[in-house]
Amino acid sequence: MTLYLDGVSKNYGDVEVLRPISLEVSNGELLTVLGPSGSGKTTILRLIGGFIAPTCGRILLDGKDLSTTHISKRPFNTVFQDYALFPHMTVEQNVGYGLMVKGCPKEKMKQVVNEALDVVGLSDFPGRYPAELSGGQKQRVALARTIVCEPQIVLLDEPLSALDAELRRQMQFFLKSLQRKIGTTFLFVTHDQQEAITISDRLVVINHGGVEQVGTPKEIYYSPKTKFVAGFFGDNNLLDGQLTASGSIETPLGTIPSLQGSNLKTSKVIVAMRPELFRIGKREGAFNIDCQVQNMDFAGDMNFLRLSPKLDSDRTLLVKLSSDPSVPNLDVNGDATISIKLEDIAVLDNPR
Amino acid sequence: MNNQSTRFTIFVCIIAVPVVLVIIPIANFFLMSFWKMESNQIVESASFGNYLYFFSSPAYWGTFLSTLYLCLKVSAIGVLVGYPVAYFVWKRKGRVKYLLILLLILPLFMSYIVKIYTMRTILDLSGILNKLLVAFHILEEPSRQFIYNQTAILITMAVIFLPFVILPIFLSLERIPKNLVTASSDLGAGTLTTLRYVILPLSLPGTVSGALFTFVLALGDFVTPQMVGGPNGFTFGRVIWSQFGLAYNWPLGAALAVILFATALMTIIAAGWASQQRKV
Repeated sequence: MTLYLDGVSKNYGDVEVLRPISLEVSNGELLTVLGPSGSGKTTILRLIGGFIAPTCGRILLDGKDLSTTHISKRPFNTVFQDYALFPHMTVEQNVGYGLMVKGCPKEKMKQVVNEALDVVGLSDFPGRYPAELSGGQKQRVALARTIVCEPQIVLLDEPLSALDAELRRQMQFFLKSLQRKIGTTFLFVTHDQQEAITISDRLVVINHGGVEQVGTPKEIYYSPKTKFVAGFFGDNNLLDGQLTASGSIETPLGTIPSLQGSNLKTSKVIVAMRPELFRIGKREGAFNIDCQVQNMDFAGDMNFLRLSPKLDSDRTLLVKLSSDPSVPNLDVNGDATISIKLEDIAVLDNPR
Repeated sequence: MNNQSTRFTIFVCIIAVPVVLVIIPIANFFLMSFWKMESNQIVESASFGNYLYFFSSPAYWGTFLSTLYLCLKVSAIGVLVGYPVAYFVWKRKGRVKYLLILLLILPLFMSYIVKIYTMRTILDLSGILNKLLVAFHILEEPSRQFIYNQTAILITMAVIFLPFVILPIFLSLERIPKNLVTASSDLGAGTLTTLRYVILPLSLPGTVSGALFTFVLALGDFVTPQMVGGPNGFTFGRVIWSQFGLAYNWPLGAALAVILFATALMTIIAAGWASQQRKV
């Protein structure tokens, strides 16, 4: 199974909610569409599901155009943000709905539904109504309801956003393991960066109706291609820089020697340095920054260190240090040098 | 006046309205139904005479049963016509939808008498209905079968009470989250399957209320039978009405009214209980 979006876009009147995008979804992967609210990520999912028709472009499943295929005939099933469970049906009836409307024999239906309830860990509640279930349980019913239909792709529209933090983490883990177990392609939409990085095989980051970057979580996190992506994950330290003829980069905090493997297109660049990749103390062959300590906050597993560089004291750099009780606290207003390895620095084009 | 007594006063005032306007008149009626008439005078001596009289005279309970049957038919027609209309309006988008529903409930703001007269001119021998049927060669000549009989009452009531069915059905359709309809299609259901398994069950409470409204309104209506029923259009409402007029037997009228009231009440309670058995 391969799903290909070929220049698909969506306009509502004059408003362009999705610029033409091309995207390939391959078999058995967990692909996440990630973006801030209003970025058009749910639109992508609704286009694939067939809830809305694209303004331009084609949606191809194994080369076959789905544009005119009705929502009920597409081999995809959706887990809705608010679960959309039928309130007048029991868990068993909800899960069996897709089979029932296709005229599946009762005996077989019961067996498949029981298997699905087993997989999602709800085999104890077949007779309950949705109103009698907790948020996490409803979520599992919604999942079971889609997987009994054996869709080619399960579409998940921010399915975890209504759950509290602890349950959310459990469900992220559950979703990923379920996806591996049944081997179905999952297309997951979320606005939560942490969630996206945790569960995805691949990520599509979108903003303002356009694709910013497609890649594995590690690529997206450590090698952002755009300023938006660099700033979207974690508390990245971003600097404006100027590429020189020799390949080194001038920044307000000093010159970074030439980096290997960078193929930059513009001379104006953005330098991104992850807070957790800094170390205290000068190192050879690293980018060293002399700073004054503003403050140091202890957050349990982490120390958050805010520093102002000597060369540009209006700026604040954030450094995350894993907490180690044997390391003494740094003095506030004292001097400190921080360093980051050259290969840990991400440099990206800044076309603006 | 301290805070607590202020609240008590407000509470008493709020309670007083239904007590004075609803409970006392009904209680009064209920009491009167046990009295009797003697030489054109109401005698305040309690007995079940009026109720026994009702159950022992086939003319009374025969009319009662045929009125119940008529009202059932009125509600059934109301639902059969009103549901598709409400569904059609619900499926429209944006402003069209609300404009249509406004048009449909507009007759509720018109005078009841005017509406009955209008129906009478439509159903009459020289009315539009007959003219249309003759024009389309469905009838050879104008027919009297639509006016001054039980059919006339049935048609008139069904039309006049239609907004009372459409509105609650429409409102209960509006309460169905759109996502449920989308989810049903997403799981492979066509329009009719979704209607049968999702929309119909979820709009059942509104449909039951609509049917109940119509049933109870039709049950107590004595003006429509009077105006379009003619001599053959006798209903229980008319029987009660005549006890307070021509027949001048208020205690018997009160007893018949209590029977009607109890029937309406039991229908409502039964419908309420039935819809509570469902998880909606």
